[in-house]
Amino acid sequence: MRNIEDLFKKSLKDHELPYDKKAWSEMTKKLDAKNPGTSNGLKWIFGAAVFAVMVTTYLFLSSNEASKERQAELIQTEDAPADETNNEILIKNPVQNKLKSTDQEVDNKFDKEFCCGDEAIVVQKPIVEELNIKTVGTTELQQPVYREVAIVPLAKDEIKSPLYFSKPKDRCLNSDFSYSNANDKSIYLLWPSENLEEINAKESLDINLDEKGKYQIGTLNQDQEFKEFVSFMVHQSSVIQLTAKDYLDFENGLPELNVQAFSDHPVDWTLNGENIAQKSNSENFNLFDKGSYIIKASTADVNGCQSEDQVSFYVEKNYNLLAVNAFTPNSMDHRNTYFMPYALTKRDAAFKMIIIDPSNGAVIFETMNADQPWTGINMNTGELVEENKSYVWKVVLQNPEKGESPEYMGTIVRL
Amino acid sequence: MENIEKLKEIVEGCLQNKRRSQEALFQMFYGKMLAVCMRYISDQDTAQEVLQEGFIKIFDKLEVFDFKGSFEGWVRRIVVNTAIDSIRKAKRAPILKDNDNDFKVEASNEIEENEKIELIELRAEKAVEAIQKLSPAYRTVFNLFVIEDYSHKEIAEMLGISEGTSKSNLSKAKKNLKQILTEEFSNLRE
Repeated sequence: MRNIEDLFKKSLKDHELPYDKKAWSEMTKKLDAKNPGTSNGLKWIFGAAVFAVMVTTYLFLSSNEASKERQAELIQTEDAPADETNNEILIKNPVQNKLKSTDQEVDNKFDKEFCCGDEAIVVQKPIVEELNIKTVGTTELQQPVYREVAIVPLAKDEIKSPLYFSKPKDRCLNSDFSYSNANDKSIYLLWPSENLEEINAKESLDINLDEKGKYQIGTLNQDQEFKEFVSFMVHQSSVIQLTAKDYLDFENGLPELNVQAFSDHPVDWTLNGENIAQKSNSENFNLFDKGSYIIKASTADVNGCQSEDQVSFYVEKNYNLLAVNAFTPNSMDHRNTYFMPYALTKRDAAFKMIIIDPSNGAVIFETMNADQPWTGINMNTGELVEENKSYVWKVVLQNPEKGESPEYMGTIVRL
Repeated sequence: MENIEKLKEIVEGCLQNKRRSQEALFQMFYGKMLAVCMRYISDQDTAQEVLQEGFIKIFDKLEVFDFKGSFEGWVRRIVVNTAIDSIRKAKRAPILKDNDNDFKVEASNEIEENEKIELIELRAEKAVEAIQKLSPAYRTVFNLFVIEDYSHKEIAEMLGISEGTSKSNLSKAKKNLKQILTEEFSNLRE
């Protein structure tokens, strides 16, 4: 009784069904129903709202603080242009930004602003922020102050608090991305959709890049405006789509399945996990054995972004050279007066076929030519074989196709 | 083989409720676990639902997994238990008693074809098809004992039946499977 157990155990040991993309969308619905508050969209909206409140609060407080201090110090007064400002304060806030690569994935394609060193990115155009602050009266200084910022080059010797940024490589949509902030203050990532994400000092940000476009990394200036230092692009991969016929095409005598890939780039194919050498957009796969097949195709576009698609196909019968199982040598219908497996008449394949009489094991016919089929004559006696009796045929192919068994056999009844 | 570091990363993401990580875990085990469900539940839609329920439990219980044993084995146990629960619910009663009426093939003749069956190379699809023809009672015990390697004692505890019933169900399941396979192969010969 152990046999049947082993038989089932062996056949089901690594049984795996193909992945169905729809299954995940169904699963997502269940997860959403369970945790309605955790969807990404809501998280972003909530995050954005919190951030907006924080920024507003910070702006309000810092503006008041700054204004008070500046009123007390009144560093320098210059002749104002002809505008409504009574006092104009010029604050030189020299910042030279020296950017050092901390990421091993430093790209060579730096922005023009950056000079490439082995490990360092140096900002060649440092910035000076020129602030025009209205100081009409003491009471007005309690209110938030709105300022305009101008960026001008900074002298080299005016170095203060350098910031370090690594330049990420361009990425593909939906890839994971990690960025470390080696600085002592927060830096920010600006998404293509203008969402701003803070990366705290000495911390890392791990995200999934699910928006395509330009991602910028930088800081906020005193006016809480974002200043980019490095950026990278996220590309959407070109889509590949497969279509397959829903039947095997035996036109060439082979069990061929044609699969077309719609893609602008060379295609890498796999058949049940095995790589196929061909790379064209339309491939024929010979599916000899009964069973499930999964054909996958993947491409990489110019940005190196990969996409893949797959089709599955079930073959219901083993391929056996498309041989009939009966023939009638004396029939008036000439199509059925001889025996030759149909596939051998279509395939240009060298072979040897023998017919065996199972009652005595004698070889009663042999041929190596598809144009010389068995007409029912026993070559040992020169007579027609008995009616309503089964004979065994066996074919050996000299050069079987890849993945094909060189031997085929079956039975043929002479009617 | 499980890439333990990658797996840990995915599990970590799942614990933080990250959808991407949950999807990665789902995709990693979907094929194998659906195959498990299909052995217990013959209806594919129901099997899919059971699998989803199983994954909800997996996501819920992930924090208790300590990476000391096989993760796949752990996932599999949850899926199997979910499938058994589902069969139990569907019948609304203790179903896991032997009941010949559930079985569709009449076990009329004693079959002694061990030699023939030994020669058969059984495809997984055919094996599943044959198992699905068994009654839920026979099918469940056969799967648990033969495929999942549970003992009769463990099966009896899991299903709330006696060890004797478990042994009897297994024996009848095997007998019926032999008959199904024999009929299947004689059809092929014709």
